[in-house]
Amino acid sequence: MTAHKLLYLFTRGPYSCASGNEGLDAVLAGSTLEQDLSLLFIHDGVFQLLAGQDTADSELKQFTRTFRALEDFGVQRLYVHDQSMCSRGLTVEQLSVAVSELDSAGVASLIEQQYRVFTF
Amino acid sequence: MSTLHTLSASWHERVWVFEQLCFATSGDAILLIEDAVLAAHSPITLASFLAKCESRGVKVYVLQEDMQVRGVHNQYKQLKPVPYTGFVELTEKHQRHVAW
Amino acid sequence: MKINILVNGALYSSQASYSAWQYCLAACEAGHQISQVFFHQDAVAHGNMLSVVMSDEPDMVENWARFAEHYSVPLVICVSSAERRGVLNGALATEHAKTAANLHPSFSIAGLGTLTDASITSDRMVSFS
Repeated sequence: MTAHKLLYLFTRGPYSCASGNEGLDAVLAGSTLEQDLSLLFIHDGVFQLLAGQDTADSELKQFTRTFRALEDFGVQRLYVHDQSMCSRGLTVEQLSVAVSELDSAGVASLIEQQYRVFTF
Repeated sequence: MSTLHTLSASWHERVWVFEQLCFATSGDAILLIEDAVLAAHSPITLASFLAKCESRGVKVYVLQEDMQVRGVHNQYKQLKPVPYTGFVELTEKHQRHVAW
Repeated sequence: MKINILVNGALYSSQASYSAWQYCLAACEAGHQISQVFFHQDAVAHGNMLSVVMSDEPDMVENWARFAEHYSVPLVICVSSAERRGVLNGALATEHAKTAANLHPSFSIAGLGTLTDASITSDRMVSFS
């Protein structure tokens, strides 16, 4: 079977709701079926990748560590929306993984390349 | 392949999606459902968004039933009301769907 | 056309289930086939057979069950989301040493691979969050 392009959109910040964690479950499921996966972090979703998350004194699980391990699952295409970063005062150096920045037109063209898009 | 984008949240709650969809690709379609239909009631809210979509060749639709149950009256001639059968036809025409 | 449906929105608190159900009815009446309806995240509560609705409100669990039976459509609940929210079939209840199971007989439980697979093999995927 040829690999299909699947895009996973992360639109919310971590911890307040489970969409990031359960979105990652979906990404891992996609990776075991050897599809061609991309992840896009947009709006508050960019906070999923912020470095320095410290859950040592918390019962909350730092599921966002899994974003850093995705390379081991063959998932290498991680994108952030530049305007979402900029309007939150974030730079790519502050993130815990290597990402590519896309402007709004770039986001539209990334979507255009996909076979399926999942929103979290 | 073109894309059908559905928006389900209110403009006031999720304006960033409306801003992003001003960059939708020519030939794409946008369908407002659930609370996204609320914006159709105001003659101001969607004016610039609809003008941008029209200039890019992106058609915008609104789900009739979701307007009706909310008492919303469509103020825009560029915003085409469709029933659920129209929603299905839009998914026939556009191979990819993004639920924002 | 074969259409795969993904529902993420919660039972009762969100309109997603109703929107998806209306879409599915219209699609089937237009001659399309729904390959499966996959319930992920908060939508897994659809699989709980113990929900009770007020008599003047729509019973979305029964609406889906009737739809699935009429058009022979599998209703699939995501296993990891379901376990976290307490929707279990007999096998899961035994595995996790729980005293009861509550999966509605019209629904089945499967992994997210089922969603990926159906999204690829169907002609369309339509999502409701």
